[in-house]
Amino acid sequence: MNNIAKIIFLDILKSKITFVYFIVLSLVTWISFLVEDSLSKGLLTVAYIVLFSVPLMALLYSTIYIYNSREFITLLLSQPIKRGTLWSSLYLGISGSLCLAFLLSAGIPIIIYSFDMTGFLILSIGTAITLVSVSLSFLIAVFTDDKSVGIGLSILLWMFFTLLYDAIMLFLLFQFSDYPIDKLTVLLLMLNPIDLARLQIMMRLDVSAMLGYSGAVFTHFLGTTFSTILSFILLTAWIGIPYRFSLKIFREKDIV
Amino acid sequence: MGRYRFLIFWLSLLISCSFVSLLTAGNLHVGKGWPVTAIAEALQTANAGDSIIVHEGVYQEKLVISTPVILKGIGFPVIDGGNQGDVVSIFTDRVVVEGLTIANSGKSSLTDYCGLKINKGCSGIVINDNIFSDNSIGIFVQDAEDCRITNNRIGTSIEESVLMGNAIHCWKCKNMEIEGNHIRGHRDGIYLEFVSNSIIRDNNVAKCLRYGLHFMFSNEDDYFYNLFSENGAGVAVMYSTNINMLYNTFDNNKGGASYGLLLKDISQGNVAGNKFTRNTVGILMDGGLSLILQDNIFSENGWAVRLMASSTENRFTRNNFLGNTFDITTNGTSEKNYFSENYWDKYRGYDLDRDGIGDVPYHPLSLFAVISEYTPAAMLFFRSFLVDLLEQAERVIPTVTPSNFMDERPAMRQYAL
Amino acid sequence: MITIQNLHKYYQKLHVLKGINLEFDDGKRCIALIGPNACGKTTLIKCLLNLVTPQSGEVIISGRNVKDDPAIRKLIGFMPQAASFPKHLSVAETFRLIRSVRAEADNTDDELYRSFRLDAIATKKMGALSGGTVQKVSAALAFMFHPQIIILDEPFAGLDPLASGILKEKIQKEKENGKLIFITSHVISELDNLASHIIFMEEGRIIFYKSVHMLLEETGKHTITDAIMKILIQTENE
Repeated sequence: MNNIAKIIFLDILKSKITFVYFIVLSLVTWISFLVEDSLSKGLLTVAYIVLFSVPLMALLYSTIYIYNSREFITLLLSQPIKRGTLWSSLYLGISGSLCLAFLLSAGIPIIIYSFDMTGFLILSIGTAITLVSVSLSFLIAVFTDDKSVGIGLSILLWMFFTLLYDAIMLFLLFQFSDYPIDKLTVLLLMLNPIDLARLQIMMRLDVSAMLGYSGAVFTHFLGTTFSTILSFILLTAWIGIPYRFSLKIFREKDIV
Repeated sequence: MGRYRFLIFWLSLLISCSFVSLLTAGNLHVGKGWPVTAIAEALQTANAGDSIIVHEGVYQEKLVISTPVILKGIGFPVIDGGNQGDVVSIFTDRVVVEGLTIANSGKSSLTDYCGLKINKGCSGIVINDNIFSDNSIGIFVQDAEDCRITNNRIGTSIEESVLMGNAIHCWKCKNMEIEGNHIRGHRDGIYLEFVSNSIIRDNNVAKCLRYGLHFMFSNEDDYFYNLFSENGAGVAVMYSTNINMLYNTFDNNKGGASYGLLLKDISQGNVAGNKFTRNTVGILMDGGLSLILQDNIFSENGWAVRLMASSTENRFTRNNFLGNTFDITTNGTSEKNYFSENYWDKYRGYDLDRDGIGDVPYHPLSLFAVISEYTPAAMLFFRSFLVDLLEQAERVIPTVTPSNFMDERPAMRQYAL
Repeated sequence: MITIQNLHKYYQKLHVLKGINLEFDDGKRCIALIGPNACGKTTLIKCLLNLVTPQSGEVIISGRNVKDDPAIRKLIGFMPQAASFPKHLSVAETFRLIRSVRAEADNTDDELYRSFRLDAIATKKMGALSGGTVQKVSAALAFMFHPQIIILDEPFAGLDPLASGILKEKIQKEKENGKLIFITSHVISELDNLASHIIFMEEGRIIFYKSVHMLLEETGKHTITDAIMKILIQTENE
């Protein structure tokens, strides 16, 4: 298993697209820190870029990669190897290399400029979002055998998480603003991994403003250890559940 | 100028007092192993100008001072009020209380008991270098003049807000000097009601339940070089005129209704050279009229300045706005306030003629600041891509934000303050 | 060795295998799977490898159901129709990968590897190889681990005549060694002198499973090609 994961890992690291991802993300991160006149502004810009680009790259790239490895998967499955083992190796290889590319590109400037909890938070969030996206793309890849449908789905899913979900939530918030729905809004937002990550970052970098938001949501909920634990559980669920589902489908799937 | 006159007055008073005591007054010693073991006894026998030296130990008594004496502790002897009544009451002029620990006043939700009370009509009192602990009110000055409250450490472990009083409470006073005190965990750190011509400086006030410093109906006062941090709110200046607020630091006053400085129905004040850092709201102005705010630093606040609709004719010049979530927000649209030559780190303009002033005006009011003013829960969507898109659209075609809200001459470079 | 019982496979509504029953006891056979396009040959092979899960019926190899035991595939060497490998891997690395997946990697059969002269291109990337060379790699891998059962799906497609010859020779040799070999091919003439048995499939059914000897006898022809042609014409006339 380790061997297969290693081969996929190196394959992705050597690919041109990963290299471009690495270069672009490094450049943008460095520039954000250099151009912005304060560290916290730089961090905010970097967090923004990470939340925007990392899920897009991870979702699209790993979806395409799985479709392109179809023959490789067939070849290995005709060997005495368990499907579960192959699937987890594939996951390890893809997510490992994408995480590494992220950590090496955005991570180095972040660590140099902000070697503290905030920097660490952005790095963990980038990593977690990568893992979530790869999990989701695994689910997409077993969901349909049609590559173009799969790519379309992954773009849609990204759009949904980054824009549509917030748009729906914001619309509901204004519609029901006469009711005490703050807590519900927070909970619903936390169900979206990108919003969850955004809230975590805001709680560090905009803590003064968040405390002023007197809906009592912050003090009674968002700022507590419970919410940190809940965030952790939710992110883990976002990584684990799509992967488990994809594995279940992959185990029964016809390799054609 | 007034400050120096004040100083000279006090110096001469001190010097004359010490001369008087050297020549005429005697020293009375109180403590274990001395002929007198109770301070009250010494106070009864003392003549005006005498010094009572209190030696280390715990004194379970309440003191009433009606002779002008110097009460001086060695090694901070503890005057323990036994949780009943006022611990020390002063009824005469020219009393000096120094080096004592004054503890455990009565605690009641009906009557305000104090560690030390300066009663009506007294003047020339010096309360210097004492420790006040676990009193309902630390020091209460009622209708007195020319008092110095300096270098005291005032704290309490009372947590029930109904039993908690202010650390220093002055009512109807004149020419007070409150300086160098270290205050922790009372209701208000320093509370001034009908107090005029007074100076508050170099105090360090933190973790108070309500305000670090609170002015009510007090005019012609100055406060400077104070540090207010982690209080319910830093400073509240209400219904007062001509208050100078200079070189103070307002740090870390966070919470739902929290702010560094509240300016409520005040006029003709100066707010200059202050630092507002990491507060939920830097300045909350509600009914401010003709205030001058310049050379201040606002950094890392949630809202640097919240201008409520009733504030007009205020001038913001040469301030630095750095890393605040929102620089300005308001709930109104049409009032006149002037912004000029401030440095806004969010400004993205250019300076072609290189005069240090941006060529296009800056609009400090963002769409989202306005939206969250009406629907606070919208804060939860801040920094999402959706809101960012809306913000860009608003910038191109302004529909919600008032267009007259702007700094026409934004500074290109941060001021060194 | 292999028992296939009442195998049914649907792709959505498409009924691809309609009740396949087959039994193979001995080795020393080279069984040619033939039939028109889309008759279910490849699906049947994929059922043997558990790449495809039938809706009903079972495939049992050496007493174990292929569904339950991935280790069964240790007994099988497989050369897929159009193999594809990770492009960045060199030839040598590809062999190393498959070896690492197969635990019994020590004692390998390197005959094809040598006769195809793959050692000369060991450092080349798989992505840089021609289709024929990829087929050679694929063939070498199928034989490498001394499998009891060898499945070759269109093995000669893309191979040059020389390589085809080498492969045919190897198939013959392994058959003699007691292996059970399955071959599918569009070009029936390629199977002359190679196949010992023929399975003819049509529309998801086994039409017949006979030894070549019997087939030739029954039809009175000399080559498999002629025999099959005759049968096809017969069935069409009926």
